[in-house]
Amino acid sequence: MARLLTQIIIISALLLTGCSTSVPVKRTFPEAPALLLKECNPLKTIDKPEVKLSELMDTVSKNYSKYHECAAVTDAWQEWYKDQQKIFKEVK
Amino acid sequence: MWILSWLPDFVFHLILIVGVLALLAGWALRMVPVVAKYSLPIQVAGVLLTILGVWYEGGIAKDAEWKARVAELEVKVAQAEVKSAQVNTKVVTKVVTKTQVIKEKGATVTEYIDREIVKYDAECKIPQAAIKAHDASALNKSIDEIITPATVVGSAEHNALAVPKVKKSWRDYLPK
Repeated sequence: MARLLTQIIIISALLLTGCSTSVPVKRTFPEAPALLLKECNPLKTIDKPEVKLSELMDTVSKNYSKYHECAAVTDAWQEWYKDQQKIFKEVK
Repeated sequence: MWILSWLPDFVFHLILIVGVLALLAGWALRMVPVVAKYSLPIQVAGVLLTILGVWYEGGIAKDAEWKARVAELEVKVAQAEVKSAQVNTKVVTKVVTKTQVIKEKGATVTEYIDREIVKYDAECKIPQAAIKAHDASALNKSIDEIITPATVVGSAEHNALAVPKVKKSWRDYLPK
């Protein structure tokens, strides 16, 4: 009888190990838009021995524009990440 | 709990009912002298079936609870995906608009340069050093790394490396 009870206890213990606690819902962090994945354009150089003031100013101005375009993408990256992280954390 | 997906729920209800009935039968059979000897095995079987039945009943209840949780999470994930797509659209629209504004403003500066700055082209001479400093900054290089049309590049090292090496025979390595 004692042996039988031991077997019952062992079988019961084995059966209880089958309880699962993980929820099988697959989640992936969203893909970033392709526009944000583009590299920044390289800045323009003068590349000639003599340059007029207007040409120099034009190059400088275009380079500043390139910087601002690149900064806009960087700002967008930060906004995208903050928003996506917030959405991701909301699902619990 | 894999067995729950194989067998229908009523099988487990039946196991519990049979188990309880066997327990009762085992207890009742003790009172009948002829069949009293079967009461113990019937009771043991009853205990086992009851344990199994109760366990699977719990499993079924838990399974239903998890299925409801999964369904709830799937809805939330779908909603999150929609929100995420909206964020993507919002961010892309913002970047496109900002880039457009930057280009437009840049164009006004270019127009101004072409209209006003050109007037000073003749009187303002830009020295080589200024060009060198500008290009170094634009390329994020140190001043020494920048090569301008006036830079003299030493070719001695290059030429020395370009001269082919004299091939040696294996005999040259033998001791003399």
